[in-house]
Amino acid sequence: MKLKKSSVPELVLVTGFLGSGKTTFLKVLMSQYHDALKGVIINDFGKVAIDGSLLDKEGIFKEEISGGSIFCTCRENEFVEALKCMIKEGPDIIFVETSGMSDPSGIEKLLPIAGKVEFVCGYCVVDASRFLALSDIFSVVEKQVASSDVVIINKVDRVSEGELERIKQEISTIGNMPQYEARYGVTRKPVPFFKRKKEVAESENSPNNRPKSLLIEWEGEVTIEKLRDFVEEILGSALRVKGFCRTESGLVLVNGVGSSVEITLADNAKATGLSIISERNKPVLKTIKDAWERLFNTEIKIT
Amino acid sequence: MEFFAKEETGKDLLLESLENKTLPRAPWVPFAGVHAGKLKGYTAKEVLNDVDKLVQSLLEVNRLYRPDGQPVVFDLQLEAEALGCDLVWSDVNPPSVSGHPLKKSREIPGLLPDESSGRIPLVLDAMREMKREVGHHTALFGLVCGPLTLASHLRGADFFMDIIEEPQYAQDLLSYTSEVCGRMAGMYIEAGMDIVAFVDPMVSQISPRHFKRYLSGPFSGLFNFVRQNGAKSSFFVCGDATKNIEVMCQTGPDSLFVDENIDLESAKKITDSYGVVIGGNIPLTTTMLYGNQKDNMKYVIELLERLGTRNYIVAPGCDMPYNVPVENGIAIQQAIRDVERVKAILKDYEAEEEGVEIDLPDYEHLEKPLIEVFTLDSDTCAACTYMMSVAKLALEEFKDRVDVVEYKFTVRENIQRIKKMGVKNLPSIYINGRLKYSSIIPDRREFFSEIKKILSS
Repeated sequence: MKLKKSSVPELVLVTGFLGSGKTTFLKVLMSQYHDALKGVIINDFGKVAIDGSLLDKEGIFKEEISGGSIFCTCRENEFVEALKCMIKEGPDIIFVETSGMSDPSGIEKLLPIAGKVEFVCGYCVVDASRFLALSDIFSVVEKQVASSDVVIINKVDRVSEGELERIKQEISTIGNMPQYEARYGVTRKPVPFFKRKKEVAESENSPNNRPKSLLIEWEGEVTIEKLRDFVEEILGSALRVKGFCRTESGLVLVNGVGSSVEITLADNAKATGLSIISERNKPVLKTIKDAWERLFNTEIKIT
Repeated sequence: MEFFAKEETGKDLLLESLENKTLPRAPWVPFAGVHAGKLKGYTAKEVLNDVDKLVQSLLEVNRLYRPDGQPVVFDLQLEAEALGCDLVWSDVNPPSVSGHPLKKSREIPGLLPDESSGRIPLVLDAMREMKREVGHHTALFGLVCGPLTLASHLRGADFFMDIIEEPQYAQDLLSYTSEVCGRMAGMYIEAGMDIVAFVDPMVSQISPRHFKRYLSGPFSGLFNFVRQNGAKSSFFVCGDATKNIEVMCQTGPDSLFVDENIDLESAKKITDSYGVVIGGNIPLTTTMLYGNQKDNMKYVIELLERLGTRNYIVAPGCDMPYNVPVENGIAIQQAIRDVERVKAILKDYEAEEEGVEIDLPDYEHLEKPLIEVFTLDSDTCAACTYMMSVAKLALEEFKDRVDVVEYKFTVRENIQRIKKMGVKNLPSIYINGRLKYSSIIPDRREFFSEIKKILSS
């Protein structure tokens, strides 16, 4: 792949949770830019990273940031310094591999401090075999996907087709970025050179940015205890949950905000169901489905 | 009636804040960890390994930044090192963990750290010394690495997989690290710390449901322990922990400190409802490290306007980077102490020049050396006072052979002069129109010899 020579280096970000295969993918990605003068910033201490001697041989500049396993704002200055040094080297393209636990959403604000650089694309590598379990526990997994332009679903050979389909659906609830299946960091279809499309991310029509409002409905009655568990669980990803529900103890009004859930008996209701409002960029669909399946395992309608 | 009321110290103010009182001004806690070393010319490694250098540096923080509260050490690797982790040192950053003792086996260590483990004796000595030196007017923070981050130090990144694959082991390791935290808190309270803060950056990376499952119990226990031992407590988190603010409050800390990833106004609504004081969140990199004095004052004034002086403590988002310019810390403390005046001045500074013509002296043809001291205000800013007193000493020494003049930033007429002179940092000393000292207070002898050189030329 050839790059147009420019005085402003381009920046490509590769993010993904621990063990997702970021480094393997990065190696594959870099090999596509054979004519470009490349630089790499690795924000992960002590891992088996890209072979330093190989980089030297190929004339690739390298900066490493230590302590990347704790990503916090106290370490941002190290990234800025590394990027400053890298820009001075004059590469055509700079690849940044973030630490597996880092939330890359704040990176853009740091770039102008380091110098002139054009952020062209953010890739997020996910491990198909663990994505669903990981995203349930680590909120950072969702943030990594949400702030990327392209998602690489790696290790697809380790999951069934059904599971893969579920993963794709889950990712699409986070954002509408293109998804590519991969094994050992190599995608089935070649990943085209993506230019970051800001207008997509900032558009009000983008599912990424629209505050989500969902209505969930179901048949039959549930117990108040399980209903409370369900609402508490989805409040982790939602701003507000409200509505009338039929329970074994009668009709109730549910009102959940923050982590407080109030359930009170109600006399009558025009309709039953729960209305859920989630924050921008915070997809809630997956949480609802998972929680419902675990607690009730009955049919549910989400609109 | 009390005629001779005791003057309220910064420490009083901070402790009153933790009692949810409305205060005349918001308290200020600069998290100067390795940055403290910069003030005395020591590296990060030096201040974290040499008690004298550490204490000298902390006292300099106290002198220049006039904190109401300050941490003694900000090193989240301290406990990990005492428990067998390998560290890699840097001159301008806290150390990083490079080797994890539990990497190869899922074990629970049997030993807890004590007063002789690793660098803990050094930290305890520094705490006692700081308590003696400034403990009567400054609240002191003992910082403990939180159980989740400590578990990941001991076991490495595999710990996050353990949460999925071996949840019982993860829980057991967290119980152990929580015990370590309790032990550390006990030692710190005994060494005189007023506030024990558990610093757990990793907390922002897990979901509220899993926080409740794994961490609510341990943290509630730790905050109870601190309370029962007569100290105040704090919970520090880094990163976007927006969703976890409420569950963190439910564990019962007295205060919660967050970084710029959190919208303080929204978070404060939650913390207020739990009677928890919130602190933060001056951006470390964009504002403190790479911004100028004006940026920092402006940011702080805006924070204060939005958050008020009840249940709020002004602080950096996290541990200050080593190279934060000293003058930025000085500017922040000034803005906190003198909100209205600094606000008016900033407004004037930004306004177009309104026909105010400033005539600068003809520096090339002065009759005698002219020492100009540009300050925020030598009456209220400690660093400015020290800078001004050196200039006054010069006046005493050289009498009418030199001229000394102070231009305070808080006096409106001086703003145009400061602009015209291109003064970037306050306080600064200019001799004959040339910048000689910026922020760093000159040594008296060095300063005098500069003047002598000009007199003899």
